[in-house]
Amino acid sequence: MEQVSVTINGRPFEAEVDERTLLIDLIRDEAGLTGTHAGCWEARCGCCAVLVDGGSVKSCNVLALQVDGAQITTVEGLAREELLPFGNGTGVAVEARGVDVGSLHPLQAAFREHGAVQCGFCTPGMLMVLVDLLDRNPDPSDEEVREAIRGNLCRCTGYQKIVEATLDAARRMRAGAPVAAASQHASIEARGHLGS
Amino acid sequence: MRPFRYVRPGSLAEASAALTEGDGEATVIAGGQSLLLAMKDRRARPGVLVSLRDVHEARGISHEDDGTLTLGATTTYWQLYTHRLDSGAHAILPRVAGEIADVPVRRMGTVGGALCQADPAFDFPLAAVLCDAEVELAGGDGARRLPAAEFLRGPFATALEPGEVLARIRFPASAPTVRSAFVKHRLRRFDSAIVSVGCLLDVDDAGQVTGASVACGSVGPVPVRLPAVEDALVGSSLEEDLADLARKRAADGPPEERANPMIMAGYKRDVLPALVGRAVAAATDGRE
Repeated sequence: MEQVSVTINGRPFEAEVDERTLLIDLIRDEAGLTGTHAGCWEARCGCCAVLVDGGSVKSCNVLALQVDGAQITTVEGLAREELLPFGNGTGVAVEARGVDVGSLHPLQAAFREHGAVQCGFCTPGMLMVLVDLLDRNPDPSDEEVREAIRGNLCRCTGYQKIVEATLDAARRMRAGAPVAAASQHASIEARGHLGS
Repeated sequence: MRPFRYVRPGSLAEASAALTEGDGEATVIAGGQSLLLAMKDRRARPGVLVSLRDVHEARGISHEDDGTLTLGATTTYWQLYTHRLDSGAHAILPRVAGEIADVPVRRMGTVGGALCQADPAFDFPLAAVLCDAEVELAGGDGARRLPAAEFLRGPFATALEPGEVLARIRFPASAPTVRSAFVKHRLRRFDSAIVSVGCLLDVDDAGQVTGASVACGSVGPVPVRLPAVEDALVGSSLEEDLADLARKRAADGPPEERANPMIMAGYKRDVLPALVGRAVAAATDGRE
């Protein structure tokens, strides 16, 4: 067992974990942030992409220990989470994690509007890689967007709407659309082991 | 994965000592992009992982006074891709780094990791052989240097002795008159090469080729140089159709210099001359 200490979406997170714990395991199982998805476990599909110190990495192919001390940003860090009423038909009041739609990152808003999300499984990884892209290239061409997501597989959309959404989001960001820091969004406490 | 102990040495000496203490059970981890795939599959089962993250001697990109380019072994493809290298042969390195896998893998994967993995399809070993690079290995008895071409012994096999750590890779100084090109044939953008070719051409003011280096990847157990093509190019002029010359020479070369691919041999042999031609064309035209 080893101690790992990181920042996730602007908030400190510490855990004592088996040394074999992959970063994706730390994020999903220890911190309870299940927006990051495991698609292939072999760094092919990109569904697991997160930002480590601002750069995208595939969290299924990195040990948590390798990024000890780093600043991690997950998809949950892109918009403000809130607890929303969740109707489950029993009449008992239940709340579930939802998102303040008004706080969506321009990429997320554009994905919604352009139909770039179908099943949604690839979406978090796509978003994190595209946040990385727009951070270093605010005015990418169609080709540059396609190059940027070459490590992200989508079985649903055929990529076209993802590319269009990205170009639109980039336009909005260049025009000054607000992008708040991750730490302003993580309003719901990252929680411990699922079920605990 | 098998459980392991994770060690974080602060220097090459400590890293080498940790490897030696591990007595065959210890393996170095840098970016982990090859190693973790193997560990997840249980193809690699180290009992000790020796992290190079804090080993300062293996970090960084530096330029010596004599023009030598030194890469710390833990330099990531991303650091290499974003480093300003536009003079002579060194300019090929960011281009090679930018064609590997995808951005997230490039942010973690390292040049030292590529050489130590010695996958015949990998691009950085090809670039090292093309540019006559030299590796520096640090072990309990001190450091030793050898040409990258000698370091790469075969598929997934290197000259690393027990207790040794690949510390640095040195690229010799290169004149600004050297043009470079790299072509990588694969079907999906993130795949490793089916066939890759690197080309360096030293061209003087009169348009004469005074030096040539042509190397191919993924067509043999290790990257191979094509001396017959290189000899044909030296002494020729930019006014000739050098791409055609190179392509023909690659196709008609002596059997011992022909590609000896381990898989897809017929296809790779057929495709190699065309790619040699494309690489030479790109180097002469100054385009990719």
